[in-house]
Amino acid sequence: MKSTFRGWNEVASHLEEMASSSSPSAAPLNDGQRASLRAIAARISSNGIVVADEVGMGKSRIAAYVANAVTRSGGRCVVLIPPGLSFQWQAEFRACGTDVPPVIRSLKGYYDAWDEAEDDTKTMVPWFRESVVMVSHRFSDWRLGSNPHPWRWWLLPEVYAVARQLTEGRLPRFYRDANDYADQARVQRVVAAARSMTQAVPSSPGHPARRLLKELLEVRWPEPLDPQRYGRNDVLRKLLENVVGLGMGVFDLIIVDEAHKSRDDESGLSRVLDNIVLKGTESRRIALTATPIELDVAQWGSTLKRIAVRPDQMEIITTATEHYAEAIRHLRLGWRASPELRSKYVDASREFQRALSPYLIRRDKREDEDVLKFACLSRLPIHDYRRQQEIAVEFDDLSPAWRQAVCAAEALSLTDGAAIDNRTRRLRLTIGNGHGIASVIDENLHDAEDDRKQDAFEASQSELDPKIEVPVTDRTAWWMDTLRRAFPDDRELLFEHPAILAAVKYIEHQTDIGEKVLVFGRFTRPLRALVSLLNARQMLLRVDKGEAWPQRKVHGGRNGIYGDSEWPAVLAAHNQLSSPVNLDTLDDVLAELYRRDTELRAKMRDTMIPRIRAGLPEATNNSSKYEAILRVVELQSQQAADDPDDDDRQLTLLARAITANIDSADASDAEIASAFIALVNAAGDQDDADDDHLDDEAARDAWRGLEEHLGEGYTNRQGGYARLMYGETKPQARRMMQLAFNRSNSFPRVLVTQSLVGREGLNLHESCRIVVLLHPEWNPGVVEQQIGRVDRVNCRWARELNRAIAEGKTGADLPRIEIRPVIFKGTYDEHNWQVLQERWDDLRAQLHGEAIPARLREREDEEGRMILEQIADSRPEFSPLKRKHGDPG
Amino acid sequence: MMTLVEDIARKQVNIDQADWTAWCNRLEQVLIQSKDSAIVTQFKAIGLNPLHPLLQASFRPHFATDIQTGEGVRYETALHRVTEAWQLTDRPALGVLS
Repeated sequence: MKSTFRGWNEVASHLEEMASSSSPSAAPLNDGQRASLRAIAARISSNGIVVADEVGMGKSRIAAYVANAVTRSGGRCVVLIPPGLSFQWQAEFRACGTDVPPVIRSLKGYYDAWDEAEDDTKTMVPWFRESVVMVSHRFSDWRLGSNPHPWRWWLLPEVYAVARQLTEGRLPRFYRDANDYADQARVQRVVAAARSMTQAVPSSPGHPARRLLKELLEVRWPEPLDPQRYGRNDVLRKLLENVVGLGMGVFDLIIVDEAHKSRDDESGLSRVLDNIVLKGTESRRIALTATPIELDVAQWGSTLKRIAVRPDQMEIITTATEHYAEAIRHLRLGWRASPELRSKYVDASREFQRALSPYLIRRDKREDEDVLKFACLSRLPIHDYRRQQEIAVEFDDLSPAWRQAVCAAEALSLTDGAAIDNRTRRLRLTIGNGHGIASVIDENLHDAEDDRKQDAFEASQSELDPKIEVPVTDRTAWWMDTLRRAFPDDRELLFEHPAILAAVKYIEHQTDIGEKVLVFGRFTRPLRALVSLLNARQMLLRVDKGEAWPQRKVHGGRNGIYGDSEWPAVLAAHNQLSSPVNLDTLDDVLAELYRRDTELRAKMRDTMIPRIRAGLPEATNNSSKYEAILRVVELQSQQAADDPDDDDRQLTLLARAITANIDSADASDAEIASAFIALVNAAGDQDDADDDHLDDEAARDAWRGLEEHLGEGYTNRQGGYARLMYGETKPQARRMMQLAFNRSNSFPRVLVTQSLVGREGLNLHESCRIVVLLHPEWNPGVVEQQIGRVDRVNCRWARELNRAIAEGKTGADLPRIEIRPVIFKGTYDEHNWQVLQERWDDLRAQLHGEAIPARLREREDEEGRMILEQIADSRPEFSPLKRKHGDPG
Repeated sequence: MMTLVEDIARKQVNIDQADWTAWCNRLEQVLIQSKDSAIVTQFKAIGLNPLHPLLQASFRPHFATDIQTGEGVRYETALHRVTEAWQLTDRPALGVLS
C-alpha cells in the first residue's frame, strides 16, 4: 500500500504529451478532447476538475486518458460509475491500453478479491494492488438490518483485532470467543481480507491508511462485535465503510462519473465517495457530468463539492454565480435600452468565468461540426438544430368523461390542498414540480409495483420546493374524487386516453415515413397501453394490406380483460381505425401470413450457422467464444429437429433476431456474424464480455441466457413494432432492445421508455432523431439527458443532415432533432410548458452563457441583433478550445 | 380554464359573514358581465357547466354551505342567475358524471 506516486507535475507532463497531435496515443482523440487534456494538465497540480461536456462528446475517454497518465506516474485511480456503464468504461480503458478488473458492485464481489482458490485458477489480486479500480455508485447499499449476516460486518472487528495484534502484540479480549462464525466460508474470506489489508498498511504515521487504523483503535472494544451497531446512521457503519475502503487502498485520482446524480449527503454515491474511498493528502478528483446544474445556481455548490472545492474557494464561486444569475435576470428585462445593464452583465460574466474556470471545463454542441454546419446553412440560431414543438391535445376532441378528467386535473393543479393520503401526496408532488396534465391524470393510474423504480428515481431527484406545506382543503379531495370517477379503474379506458391517442397519431405518421421514435413517460400503465395500442393498430393496418406481421394469433380470449388478453387493444384499435379487417377470421389470416413469412425465413434459418461461422474470422479477432456457443446451438437444434412446436425456439428465434439486426436482405457472412456477436454480448454478463474462451458448460449457459432474452424479444407476442422498456426490464433485455432499435430497418420502430430507464447510459441515436415526451418533465436537466439519448456523435440526425446538404438542401428543409411534448391545449399545460422553456433558458444561460434566449432574438431588427451579438460575445466560456478573458489553459 | 373557479373558491371561503351579501352581489354582477368572455365561450364550446363545483360545500364558507341559511340561499340564487346568463343551464355539470 506504500505510495509510488511521483506527483501531479509528472501527470501533467504525460497529459501534455498525450495531447500532442504527433503522439501515437492521441490517435483516438479529437481536437476538443486533446484541448481538454491540456486544460486538465494546467489545473490538476492545484485542484480537481469538473468535466461538464455536453452529452455524447466523449467525457469518459478524457477521464480514461487522465487515469492512464496517473498510473504511468506510479499512481492509483478509482472510478465511481453508475449501474450499467461498466462495459462502456472497460472499453474506454482498453482503448487507451489500461487493464481494469471487474467493477465492485457488492460486498460479495468485493471479497472475491481475497478468494482462496485451491487451484491455480485464481486470477484476482487484492484491490489495493490494482492500479485502477471501478466501483459502482450503489456499492454502499448494504443490507445491514437488525440481524445482518456476520460476513457483512465482520471486517471491522477483524481489522481491529489484527491491528491490535500488530501494534500491541496481542489480540483484544474476548475476540477469540466472539468469532462463532469462523467456519463459515464467507467469514473466512473476510478474515483473509482483513489480514491482507491490515498487514499491507505502511508504518509511516502520516500515511492515510495508518491514520485510519489509529482512528479505528480509538473505538471502545468490544463494541465492534455487536451486529446491532452497524445501522445506516451508526458511527460503526461509517467506520465499516472506511475499513472496506482500506481494502481498496489509497487513491491518487478519484473519477466520479455522472456526478450530478444523488446530490444529497446521504446518497449512496456520497457514501462511497466520502466514506469508502480512501484519499491521499494530494489526491485529486475529476467529476464528469453533462448537467452540472439542472435548476438553479445553488447546484454549482453540490457539483463542486464532488471535487472537494474548499469552503473559501466555494465562497468566491457562490458570489460570482449569484452575481451572474442576477445580471442575466436584469439584462433580460432591459438589454436593449440600458448600456449600464449590458456593462454590468459583461463584468458579471467575467467574474463568473474567472471564478469557475480553475475548476470547470465544458465543451458543448456549438463545437460540434454538424451543429455548426446546420447553423451556417439554415441561418437559424445554433441551438435550433433541436426543434421543440407540441403535440397538441385539443379539448374539442375529448369525450365527455375525458373533458371532466382534464378539468379536474387542471383544477387540482390550482388548489392549495395538501397531501391527505399517499396517492394525493404523490399527486401534489407531481403538480408542485410542474408536471403536465397528462402526468396529473396518469398519477391516478400509478402502479406501486410496476412504478417502484421510477418512484425511487424521482425521490432521489431534487425537488423544486419540497418544504412548502400548505393547508389541507376539502376541495382537493373533491377534485380528486371527480378525477377518479371520471376515470374509473377501467384499464381499457386507457386506449381512449387523449394524450396516448395524440401521441399515436404523431408516431404513426413518423414511422410511416421511415422514422423511429423514442417516447419517454413516467407511469408504466399508460406507457404499456401506448405500446399495446400501437402494436394492435399496426397489426390491423398491415393485415388489411396483406403485409407480413410477426404474430401468429391474437393472444388471450376475445372477451378477456386487458392485461390477460391482447383483444381489448385490438378491439379498441379496430374501432379507432374503422378497420375493414374481419375480427372473426383475424387469427386465421395472421396464421397464414406468419406461415408465409416463416417459409421465407427458412433459407436464412437453414444456412445461418454455416454463414455465421464463415463470417466470424472477419467479424472478430477472438472467435473461439462464439464458436463454442454456435456448437451448443447446433447440437440443441439437432435434438429439437423433430419437435413440431419448436417454432419459437432455437434457430427460428435466432434467425428472427439476426434478421432484425441486419439492415439488408443481402447481408454478407461477416455482417451476419457481427449481428450474432452483438446479440451474444448484449444478452451476456457485461463483466464477462471480454472472456475470450468458454468451456462447454459456460457456452451452454451463454446460449441459455441468449435464448431466454431472444424469447422475450422475438417471440410472436404483440409483434414488436413498439416495445416497452420500464424499471423492471432486465439489463440484458434493455441491451437487446437498444441493439434492435439502433438498426434502421428493423422492429422496434417505437421504443417507449420510462424516464429513469432511458435517462442515462443508453445510446439510442443510430436510427432515431425524434423524442416524444408523453409526460413532459419539469426538470430541464432530465429532459437534456433524455434528448441526449438521440443527440450524440454519429447520430441519425447528423447522417441525415449531411445527406440533405449533399442534396443541396438549405434553410427549413434541413432535418432537425425533434422534441415533441404532449400538451393539453387551453389548460395550464401551455403555461407549464412555457415555464419549462424558461427553466431551460436559465440552464442554457448557466451552461452555455446564452443570456438572451434564441427564441426572443428572432423578432429583433438589425440594431437589436447587433446588441445581442455583443452580449453573446461577452458570455462566459469554459471550452478549452475557445478560452478567453486570460484564463488558465 | 379552471383558474376562475379555483380563484373564486379560494377567495370566498375566507370571506367574513358580514361581507357575504356584498360578495354575492359583486360575484353575480362580474360573472354576468363576463358572459361573452373567452373563458365562458370556451366552456360553452366544450359543453360543460364549470360553475357546478362552486355549489359544493368545500367551495363555500362554513356559514353558507347549503340553503339552510340565508347566506346559502343568496349564494345559490346568484350562481343560478350566472348560469342562466352564461346559457349553460342545460349543459352537463362539471363533477357530475352521467
